[in-house]
Amino acid sequence: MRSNELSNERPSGLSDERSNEPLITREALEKLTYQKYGDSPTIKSYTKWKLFEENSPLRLPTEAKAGEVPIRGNITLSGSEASFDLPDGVELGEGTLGLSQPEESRILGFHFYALKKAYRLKITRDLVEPLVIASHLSRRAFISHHISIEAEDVKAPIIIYDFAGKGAKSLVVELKARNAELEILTVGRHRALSHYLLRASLGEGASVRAFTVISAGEMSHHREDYSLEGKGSELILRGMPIAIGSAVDYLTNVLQYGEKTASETRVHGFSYENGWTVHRGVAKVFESARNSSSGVVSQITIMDEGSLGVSVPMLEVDTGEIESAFHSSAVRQFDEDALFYLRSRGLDSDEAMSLFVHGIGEALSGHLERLRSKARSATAELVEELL
Amino acid sequence: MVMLMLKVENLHVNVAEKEILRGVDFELASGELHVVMGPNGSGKSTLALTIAGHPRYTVTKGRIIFDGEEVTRAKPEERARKGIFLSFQHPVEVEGVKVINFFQRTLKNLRGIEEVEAYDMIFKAVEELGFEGSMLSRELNVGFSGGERKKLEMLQAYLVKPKLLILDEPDSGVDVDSLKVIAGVIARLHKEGTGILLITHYGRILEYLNPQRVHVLKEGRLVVSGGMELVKLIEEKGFAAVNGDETAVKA
Amino acid sequence: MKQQSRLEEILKAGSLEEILGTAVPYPKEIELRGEITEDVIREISRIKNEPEWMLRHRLKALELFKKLPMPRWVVGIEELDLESFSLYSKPEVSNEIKDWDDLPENIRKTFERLNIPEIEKRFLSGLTAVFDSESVYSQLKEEFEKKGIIMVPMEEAVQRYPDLVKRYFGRVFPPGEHKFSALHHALWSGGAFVYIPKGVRVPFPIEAFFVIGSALEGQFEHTLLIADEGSYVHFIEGCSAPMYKGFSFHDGMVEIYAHRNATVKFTTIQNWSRNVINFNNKRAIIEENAYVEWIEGSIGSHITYTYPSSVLKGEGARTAQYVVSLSNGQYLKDTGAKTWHLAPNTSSKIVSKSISANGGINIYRGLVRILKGAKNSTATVSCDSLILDEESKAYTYPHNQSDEPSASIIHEATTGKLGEDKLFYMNSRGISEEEAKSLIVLGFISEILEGLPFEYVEVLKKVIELEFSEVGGVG
Repeated sequence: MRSNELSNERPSGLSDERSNEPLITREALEKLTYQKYGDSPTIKSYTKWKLFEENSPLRLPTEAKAGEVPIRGNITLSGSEASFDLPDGVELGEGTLGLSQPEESRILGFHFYALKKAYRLKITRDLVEPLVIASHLSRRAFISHHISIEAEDVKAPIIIYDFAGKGAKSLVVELKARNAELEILTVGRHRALSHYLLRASLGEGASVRAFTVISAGEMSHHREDYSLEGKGSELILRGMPIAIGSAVDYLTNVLQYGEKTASETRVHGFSYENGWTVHRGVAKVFESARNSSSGVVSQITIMDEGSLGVSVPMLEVDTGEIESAFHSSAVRQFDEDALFYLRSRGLDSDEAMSLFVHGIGEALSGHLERLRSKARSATAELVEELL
Repeated sequence: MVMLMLKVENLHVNVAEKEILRGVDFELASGELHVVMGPNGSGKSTLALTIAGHPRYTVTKGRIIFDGEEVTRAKPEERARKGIFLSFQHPVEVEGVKVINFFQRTLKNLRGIEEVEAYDMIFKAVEELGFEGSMLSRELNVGFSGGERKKLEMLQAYLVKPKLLILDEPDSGVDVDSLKVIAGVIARLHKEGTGILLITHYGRILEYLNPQRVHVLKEGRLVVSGGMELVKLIEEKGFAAVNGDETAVKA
Repeated sequence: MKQQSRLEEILKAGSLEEILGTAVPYPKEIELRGEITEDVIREISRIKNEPEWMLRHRLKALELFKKLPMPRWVVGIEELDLESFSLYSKPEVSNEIKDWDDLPENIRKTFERLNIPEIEKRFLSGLTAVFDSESVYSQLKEEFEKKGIIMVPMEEAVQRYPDLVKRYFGRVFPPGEHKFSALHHALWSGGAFVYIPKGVRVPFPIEAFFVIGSALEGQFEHTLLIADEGSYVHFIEGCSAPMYKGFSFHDGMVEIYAHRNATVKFTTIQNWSRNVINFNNKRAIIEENAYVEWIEGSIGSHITYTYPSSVLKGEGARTAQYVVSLSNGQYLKDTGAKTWHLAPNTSSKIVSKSISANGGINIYRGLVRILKGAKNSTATVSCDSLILDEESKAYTYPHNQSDEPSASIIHEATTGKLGEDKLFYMNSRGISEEEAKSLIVLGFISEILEGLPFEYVEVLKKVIELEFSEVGGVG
């Protein structure tokens, strides 16, 4: 697939080494579509792909200078620049883990087309302090960041900050975990277009507790795919997408292959000031995943007139040998009675709402241990913006 | 001369275009304990929620005057700050919010007590009432039984010490032991001078209390007011026996 | 960690999106072969001696059918041969079932063994040819006429009540909606026309077992039910189509128009033979304060697609959709319900119960849309799936969308299995596995059974017992 001519045609990156990540040609890119299937009344994508088309790497520069990153991480990717300050127990390498491919869709095609360099991290021993990854863009460009993480026989908290301030930013995180206990906090704070993809493969004995809070930009496509392959692997995923005059399409996909695997996805989104908040949560239990349990709870609160809330939880069960499987969804306003209860205790409407959202954030991050306080301060900031 | 605290005048209330209260009048002097009884669907809870200012209940006619001020259109939080406290029939669950933190906030809002002081007060109150201290670290009403929720409402009322306490069926869905505890708190607040409007379907909580007046609400109107003898009559013969025209004491 | 992960394999196969529920995991799409010509349509119309306007309607629908794309979400395992549809217009068609011996042997045996009463036989066989539908009409005729109720075969309505038919036919479910609705409008044949005048309440359920003239015609039957202001009717549609030894396609349609304050209950209990691909188009328009209740029981067929739909058009309109689907054996039921809330204070309720056994697949596909301005509307959806063994599958694809902040949509779904412990407990009390299964299934759907007239509950119970008995899994 690789040829020097092709790489010469591509905009030159920071590095000449291009051996570790998949490549895509412009011609191949042209053939790709955003969705393999068209929209139908019951299955519909709410990402405004047109915006990505207008700000694709074919139209925007694929390089950008670093900007002011609000939070410095152990790995800080800003524009086309990268800086590292790795703790002991984390090894840095290059390339991907092969959990995402350019041919999958047009957006991933763009991602790999614009990608200069992919980094690989290997966590080799337990981490006390969280491993912080920051991905940032503050200039008009299409910039791709790609981080892969391997964790085996370790415990580690990981924080991913995702800031798309201008242009279009794509961040792909790949994760392979085995006999590992991971906490992952993802904080998305966007203004412009953002594409995020997490691909996680959970091997035997892997346990992941994830909490994602997203403050949407003009259009934020945020997708997390978890494949529970190992026997007894576990996932607790919580998410809080918020769109204030902006749009977020939050997709969570949990695929359960391993025996006795357990997953629980709980998402509570908010949409405000003509915002769009969409959650599509899939949980699929394959025939091989005997005695597993799976659940998706999805809720969207519409805060005012003109805002849109869509909740699509999907449950697919391929085996009769299932411990439990459920999903539920609700799209509604703030509960009038609950609001009244708080007001009758002297809180005004805004205070009451803020207390609610806060409470929901607290409840959603309750499964975290090491990152709980970080998660809470991240939600607190968002709640402030929301109200 | 007793001071008039709550005056309800010709109150008409609609819920979703349907008229529930059709002209209710009564007065409650400060420090008095009044009971409102009535069959299911008579409008008892509507009366409680309307006085507390629930936005779903629209006053189409009439007035509510509290402490000499008209509050008919006041926001619920304003009424609360003026001293009206509603103990809910179905207190709602608020996930993620700890009871202790919520109480601190309530005390600050309604009594202007600072957090640290409030903290001590809350623990002291729990002890005084003989409640479980562990309930304070749980999330507000989340996973609480019916009885526990009612007790938590009483604890709040006890802390807030409102001028007017409206109790919406504090005795429904509670066991005898909890009932005694709840009645004890009500009696205590009453003794300390809180005016009380107690709404109940059954008379059983009244065994422990000493109301000044009993009103009977039927089909959105107070058909009769009187003393404890009304409670006896209802217990023996049911609500059907109590009609404005047949009973000796008229409203 | 050199070992390849499952994800990598899937990505290599390029199938991740397929796995993620954008497509139903069924091997093959339905392919339409052959073509339907204008001549065929003209011939159908001529045989029926139709007025010009109906012929034009059919031809317009045929045009649409040719233009419209195949819906991407429809998947099946058989090819459909359009050429064979042309047979439908020929009255001399001979594979009509007239007699017991035309039934597939295993079904016949089942009946012979069970010696079940007549009404049950109708349900179990769907054998309309042996059912004397004329007697139903004559019995009710007088009373109907007095009150101004019209209930006639659709063809007759076209001739006798052209104004009424023109006003409603194809207005609730227009031909241009999708490829199969266009096909239906082009080829429709048979079905019932029902009109309930203002304020008339029909006190007993109307059971419809229509005469389907030539057997194959019934596969495109069209039922149009108009409930005028303040009227009430409960319409029960048994499985009214003949069974064939060969493979066949069914593309029927029901249109309901419920005017102000009217109440319509529409119950379908379908037990087709296992070689029918059943595609149903059912929709109701519901005006101010009117109520429409759908009960859709799908037991038979090879593949069924049915989503009774309600359009809540007037303020205060209400609907309830109860869907029960049983896939026992390697069959597919793609069922669900759709509701659009267009006006304030509307409410809807969807209850779906699916049972998958012996390799059966159930898919719930639902849509609830609350449009902006449909203030204070509420929608509740609950779908429960019961999987009886390891080979069987259940999927749910609900889509809930609200553009109105004062409205609420609540959706709940569970998937359960028949627990070994439960089964063992029952076995130890002397109940056989078959009995236990049917007991559990009946318990599971009891909520929906409650809404049905007694005799239907009894029949349905029998059908389910039969499904799980040793002679069960008919077809």
